[in-house]
Amino acid sequence: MSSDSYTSSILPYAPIIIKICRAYTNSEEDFEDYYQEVCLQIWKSHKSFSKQSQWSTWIYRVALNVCLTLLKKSKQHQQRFASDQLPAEFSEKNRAFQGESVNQLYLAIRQLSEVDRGVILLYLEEKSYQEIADITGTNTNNIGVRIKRIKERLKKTLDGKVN
Amino acid sequence: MEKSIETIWKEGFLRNDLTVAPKINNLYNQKSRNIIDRIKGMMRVNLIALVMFSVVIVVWWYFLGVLYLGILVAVLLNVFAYYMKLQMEGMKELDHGACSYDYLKAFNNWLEDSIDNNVKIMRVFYPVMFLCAIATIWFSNDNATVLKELFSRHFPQMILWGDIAVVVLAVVVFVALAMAFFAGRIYRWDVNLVYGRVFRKLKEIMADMEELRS
Repeated sequence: MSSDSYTSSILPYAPIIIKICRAYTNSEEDFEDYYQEVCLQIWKSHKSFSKQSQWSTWIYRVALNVCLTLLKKSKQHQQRFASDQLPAEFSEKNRAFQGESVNQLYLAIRQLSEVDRGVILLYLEEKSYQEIADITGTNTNNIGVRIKRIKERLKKTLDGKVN
Repeated sequence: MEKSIETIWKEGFLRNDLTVAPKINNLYNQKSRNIIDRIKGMMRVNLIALVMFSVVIVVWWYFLGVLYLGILVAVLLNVFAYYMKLQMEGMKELDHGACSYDYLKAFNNWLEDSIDNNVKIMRVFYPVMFLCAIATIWFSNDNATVLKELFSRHFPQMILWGDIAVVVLAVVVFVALAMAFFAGRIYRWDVNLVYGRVFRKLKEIMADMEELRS
């Protein structure tokens, strides 16, 4: 894949990658590292794309896998969960996006488990239960129950914070 | 009425202002910095270990009764450490303002030159160290007397040169010469043991960057 084809292949999916990386990082520095690593891995492993799924689904899968791996590595180094470092309150530092509500939503998403973060992101990106199950390696029934539980938890966390 | 999370999500990303172009040339910046810092760090540790080892050798050799040989080995190790330090100074001349790929390439060239220079030193260093090790075995404590007795008992017809059997001397000289001849291979094997993984990573990153630039 040349530089040009790389850019044209990745660029349309940059928003997806950004949304996923934001859910797994708490600082701008971490976000940039995760974002770069995801782009690199997509570029390096694009040959393994089998075309059995959509290109976007494959990008989701790579992005989630890279983020989970990096998170695991950083946990091993820091010996604590990333969510332990989460600020309890919303602050300017967490304002990754323009709207305040979506920043609050992200703050709530970051408090979920790693897998739940991936599942809810895919759900919000309007991926089908089947696609989510394929990406996360589980079944559609499990996804349905899980999404219901995550939504309840997010609603509880956001209660009164957004309108 | 409170919005659902689906509505928050949709409204939050309506403007779709997230699209920032991934900068290809910047993709490897962090990785390049990390790998070079790692190699530099390993080299510094190696240098300190060499100097510390030379101190241990002097003390150790003192107790073996061959202090003068210990001092000789320690001096050799420190001369090599100093030579390595001088070579590492050359790293400062690399253009840190250059782009990742050029910097990585310059660093790799510097590394190859350093290894080539070290091989020249090793052609002398390895045989001398080997001879020092053999001399230590021979001269430390009562080894010489014990070995002489052992040889004369088992190989009474052996031709001696002074107190040393000529055949043993020949083997020692042969091994020392072989070490001088194969210094390049031995040194590269030695370097590979310590730095192999990071050097492979460096080459991998350079290959990826070359492909990205093509």
